[in-house]
Amino acid sequence: MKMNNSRRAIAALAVMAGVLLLAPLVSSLPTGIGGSSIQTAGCNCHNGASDSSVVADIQGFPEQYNASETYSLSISFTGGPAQVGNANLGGFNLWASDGIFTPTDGLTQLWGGSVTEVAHTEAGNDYTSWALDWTAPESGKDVDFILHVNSVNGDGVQTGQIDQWNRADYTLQSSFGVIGDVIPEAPEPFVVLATLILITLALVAITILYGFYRSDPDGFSWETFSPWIADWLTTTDHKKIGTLYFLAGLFFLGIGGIMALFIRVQLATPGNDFLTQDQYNQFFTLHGTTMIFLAAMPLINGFANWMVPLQIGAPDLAMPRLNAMSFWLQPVGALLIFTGVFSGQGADTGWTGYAPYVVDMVNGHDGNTFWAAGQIMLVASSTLTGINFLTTIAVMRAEGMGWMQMPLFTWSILVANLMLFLSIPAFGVGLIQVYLDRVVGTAFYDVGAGGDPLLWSHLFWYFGHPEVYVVIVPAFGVISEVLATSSRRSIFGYRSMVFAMAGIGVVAFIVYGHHMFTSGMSPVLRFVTMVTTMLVAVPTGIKIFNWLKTMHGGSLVYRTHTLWALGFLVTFTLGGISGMFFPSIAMDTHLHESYFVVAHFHYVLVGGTVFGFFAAIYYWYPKMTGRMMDERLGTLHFLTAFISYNGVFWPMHRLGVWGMARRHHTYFISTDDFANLPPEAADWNLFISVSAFLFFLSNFIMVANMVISYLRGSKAPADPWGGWSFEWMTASPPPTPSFGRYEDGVWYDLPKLRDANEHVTSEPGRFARWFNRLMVPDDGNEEVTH
Amino acid sequence: MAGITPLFDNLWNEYIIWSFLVGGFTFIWLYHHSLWYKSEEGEDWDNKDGIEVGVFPKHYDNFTLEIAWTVLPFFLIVYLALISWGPLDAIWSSAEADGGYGDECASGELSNMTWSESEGRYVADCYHVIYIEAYQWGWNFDCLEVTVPDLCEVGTAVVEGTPAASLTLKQGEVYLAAMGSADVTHAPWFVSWGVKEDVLYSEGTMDKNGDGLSDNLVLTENGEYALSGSIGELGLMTVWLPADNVENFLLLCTEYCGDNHAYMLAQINVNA
Amino acid sequence: MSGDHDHHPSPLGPHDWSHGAPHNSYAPIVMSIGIGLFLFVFAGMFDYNLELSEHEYTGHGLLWLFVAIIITGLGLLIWWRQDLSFDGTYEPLATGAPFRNIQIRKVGMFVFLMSEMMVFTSLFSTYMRYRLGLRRCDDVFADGLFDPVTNPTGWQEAVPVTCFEPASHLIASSWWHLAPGAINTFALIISSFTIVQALRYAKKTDIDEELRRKRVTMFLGTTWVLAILFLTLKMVEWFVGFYIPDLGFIHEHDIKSLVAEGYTIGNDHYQHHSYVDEATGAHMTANIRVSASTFYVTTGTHGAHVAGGIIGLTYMTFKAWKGGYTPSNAVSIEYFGLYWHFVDLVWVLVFPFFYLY
Repeated sequence: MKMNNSRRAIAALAVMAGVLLLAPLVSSLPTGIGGSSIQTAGCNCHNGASDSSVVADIQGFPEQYNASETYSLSISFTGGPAQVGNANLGGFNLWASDGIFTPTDGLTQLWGGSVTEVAHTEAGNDYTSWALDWTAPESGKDVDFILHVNSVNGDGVQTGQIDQWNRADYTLQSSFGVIGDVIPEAPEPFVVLATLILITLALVAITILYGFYRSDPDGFSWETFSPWIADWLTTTDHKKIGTLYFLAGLFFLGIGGIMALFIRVQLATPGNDFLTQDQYNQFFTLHGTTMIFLAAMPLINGFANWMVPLQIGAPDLAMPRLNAMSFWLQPVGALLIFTGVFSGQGADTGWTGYAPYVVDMVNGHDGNTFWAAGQIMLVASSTLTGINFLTTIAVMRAEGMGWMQMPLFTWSILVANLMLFLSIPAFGVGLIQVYLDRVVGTAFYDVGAGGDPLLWSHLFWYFGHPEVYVVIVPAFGVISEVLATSSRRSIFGYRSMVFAMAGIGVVAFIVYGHHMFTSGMSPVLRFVTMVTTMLVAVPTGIKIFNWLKTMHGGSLVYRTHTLWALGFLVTFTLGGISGMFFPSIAMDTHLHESYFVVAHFHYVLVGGTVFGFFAAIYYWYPKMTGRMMDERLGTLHFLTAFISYNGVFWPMHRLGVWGMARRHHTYFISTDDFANLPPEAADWNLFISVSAFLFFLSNFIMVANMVISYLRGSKAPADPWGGWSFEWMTASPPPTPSFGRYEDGVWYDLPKLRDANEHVTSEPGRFARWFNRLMVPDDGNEEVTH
Repeated sequence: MAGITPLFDNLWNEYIIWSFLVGGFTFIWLYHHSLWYKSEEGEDWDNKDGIEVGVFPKHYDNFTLEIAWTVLPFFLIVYLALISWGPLDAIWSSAEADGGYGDECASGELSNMTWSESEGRYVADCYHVIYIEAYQWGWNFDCLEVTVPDLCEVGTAVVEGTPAASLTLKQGEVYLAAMGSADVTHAPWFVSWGVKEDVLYSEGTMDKNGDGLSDNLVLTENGEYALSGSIGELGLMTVWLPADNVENFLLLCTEYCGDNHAYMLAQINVNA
Repeated sequence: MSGDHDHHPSPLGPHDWSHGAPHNSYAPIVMSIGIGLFLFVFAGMFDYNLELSEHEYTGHGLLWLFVAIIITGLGLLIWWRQDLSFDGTYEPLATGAPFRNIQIRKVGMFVFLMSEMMVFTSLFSTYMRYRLGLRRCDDVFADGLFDPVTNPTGWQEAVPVTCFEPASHLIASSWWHLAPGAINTFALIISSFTIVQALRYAKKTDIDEELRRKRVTMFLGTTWVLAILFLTLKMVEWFVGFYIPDLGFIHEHDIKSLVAEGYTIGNDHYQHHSYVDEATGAHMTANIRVSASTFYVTTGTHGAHVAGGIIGLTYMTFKAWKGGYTPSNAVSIEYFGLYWHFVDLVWVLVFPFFYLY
């Protein structure tokens, strides 16, 4: 690659990235995206510059407004040019970020087609003071006011002695929610979040630079750096893209964790006002979206990218450039999802984005539009990923590797991608409908026009439920690999493992109704989904028992990844058991949307997926970097994280049964007047919050371990743990291409799988032969090219 | 734990027992194996499955065992599905069909709700129909034609300094709440009774005739509101409210509905 | 092997395809940035008017929209520059059963079509939900004027009814209204034929190179023209309308477009010309926002697929004109053909459901 080329391209990319970063700012200040021009550009003021001799004033503001109360405001100004012409004296324009203006006489009128903007009328031009009513909003947001006044000399022209204008800004706080306990000045949470994200980014950048420096201290210059970074930006190598996914996933895991900490600080005590409800809603929305789509999925894709081609003995994925496309859609989509957060207009719908709130243009935030837009990009990314992995696994397996000889991690990625692939278009279509509803005004979810909010629920959960299995099934694959290798045994019941996984994949599509038990579904369908949902426990049980049996008669080597796998078995079993409570509808009507649900899905998503992928990090890190990880730090990480994790989520079960509802920014302790949560609930919440901080911090042990091991770890052999699959055959780290040699259009030296079992089933079966005859014409290329 | 309803508690207890059995079985197995089969330092292990790089290892399976832990959990699930099936009648029995709560009470008639051990649910002679409307962010209750103040009364309460609606019901009575939403989807959670149900904004709950009330309600001659059609016609959501204990509790919204979702409160009082 | 050694492989341009290592490319990151910017800017081009509860086009950031399109196009150009050097030296074949010896990218295309199928399934689900869930405007009109006692399901003068008004009520009302859709159906079917012809000539080994180049270019070009015709007629049908003068054997017709007839996503006072009560002279008005949304978005999604096909065809015609298709890489025309047949097939479903029934 020519250096000049990459330099120019990087400069162009930097400009584009700048455009992408700046475009939101253009319209996002100071009140969020899409604010009308009056706040940013000024007003229809006479002449160019403001004049300080004009003094604008509003009387009638309360100290703090009460929700929905109406206040009489009186606007006036003094100063300005001397009166020369007709009776016109002045004009004004008052804009508020919320609430409703009501003109009380003929001198004022609503302006700009909005109830939050008001101006003088033709008749009102003859005055220097005006009166009108303002009704406060129902929510507890701070309301900003921007007042512009014109002092007019009345000569009817813009020349000669000039008219003058000025501007005044006001901010009104709500009395809502802070009755009784006024807290000292606290930092704006969004600013804190922005700062933390920037610090994290800076740390990542410094780490990368330091790693680059360490790899070749003499070559540390822009001339060598620019091709190096250009190579990362343009790479289509599955290993490099895997690393990119992995870094992005870890980064967003941290960001999602920071948002979880905000949530926990808010909930540490009842009636806390660390976050306003407005901010809290954005935090839990982005926490969910980030964790599922920007942390869990990229982590899975990271390992899938790395390991699937290695495990099946393929040189790369089937379509490497599409693979790069799937990755790069994600950070840009993430940027869209986060658009508006820092100006307080981020998405506030929950990760489920239920209609009709998600298309609510009045109360819902503008960020919801960009939340949908960003998710559309993630859907596109997942679709491309699906094409790539399904194709790769179906067609590029090494010789001798039939379907039933694939490593279980590859199987899990196949099942997960198949599920994702067949379900995510429904979500994509739903998102496009929401995006169009919010932007151009289609009426898919406009109830007033006959739209049906349940349609969204169906489209969403048709995707959403397979999605949670998409996130957990790859962890099953990891655990199967790790436990078998650590026990130094073959996995127990390989075939039933595969069938169980495939069974989960099939059942996943017919259970989603259990998310809608309380949404007015027909009783028959509720009963059916209750039964199918319970059925999921059967294949999951098979897997757990098979894992346990795998250890039987083995020789269990305790490594960090073994510890995480055993930890996974504990937490995932607990999460699986608590999951059995929901399909029982008479219990679900109580537990639905409570902290019991929060506890359950964190037990399966953190205790399942995240623990599974922690195991994967410790298991495959030597293969990926060629360095062994530090076992003592690893054990410390496991002990601290596992204990604090259970401290976070175990008490939530009880809170949920007591009646603590999820997605609430506060909770109520029983008083003499009413019963709600018992007083212990406050203590438990504090305990959870403290544990959450410990859990968050404990994971930095792993990050530190990765960095330190990368720099100082001992060199890893090709097969440090004694695994059997192909990835342990190549060097650590693997060369590019990972296997084989390509010359004149033909691959040589691709690996062949042998089978320790007597019967060899890798020959195509009857179905495969029939299918092949169907697909390949006789005059086609019969030759196998390896 | 504090009882919610016998319906919930019975299921809960049954599930907890099975959870302990299944969890205990799994964990004992897990702890036993992870200690018993621990590898010894420097041990020369027996590679009985022929694990070698690039070779698919020998199958390690046992058909009987695998079938056993497919079939046994399946039976457990069938059993759990069966015990979860029973109480569904109490949740779903619609007002039209006789679901154990009889017909709608005549004016002033009492429900006489009792717990039927044989059926595992509450039974009653008749039920009262009330109306609940959700809006951003609060609740409106209406007793409709239940005019006896003892049976149903609507008022206001103050919860942590914020005014909220309150609904006063009578112990031993069964109520059928017909529910609609004035804007987005909400869901009232009657915490002490362990029930919640989404209420949807639908055509019936709009105010098309512009009288400030949703079109579900009409003013009758005696100055009370009544439903303008049958519950089914209006497309309203329903939920059964068996007022079994004397208590006061908070009603929360459990379907996310915007800024003040958590403050969307009401107080439910059940008097003797 | 005939790798193009005139070019230096670069992430911005042609590759040397013969050595098997991964090829770097700027296309993915550039296209992603372009798409993200497009979605962002497009959302800002409309404002919501709180007072009227209406979405309004403001045109803010039109320039940025072009920037976004240019960036996306740039990424696409990089992709194409790289592909232009691909001469089929290494068209990878599958090794695993049951796809053994099938081109990998063909399998990929079939997998992709699987997801496309789900996209249109979801759109049809939406359509079915509303079509079956809402009363048809025809039925409401047939019920007659509103009378609370005798006819509680009827309509009232000046009060819009929320009901389902299929676009076919307008379109299938006369042959002339149907004409653009009908012509489009044939255009797509014929284009499916021409793309197969292009493939056939590209695969022919017994004709000379110049003839092959001409034929492939011609058939790909014809497909391109038919696709353009499709979108043009769609625009005519949606926005423009057409006029037929009195030719003697044909009477004068002024066929208005759907939008001109008031069939729009924002119309909550729609009135079909047949919704006039003859006895009283009363007009029934309908809120058709949901019906119009399903119609425009479903047919629009199909249209977007055709537009995507046109972009691909533009490049392929260019490549064919440069003589880029040989029997060894002709199969890439087949990949596009699979997609194109799928788009055709979807139209065969869309047409009866949205235009006829």
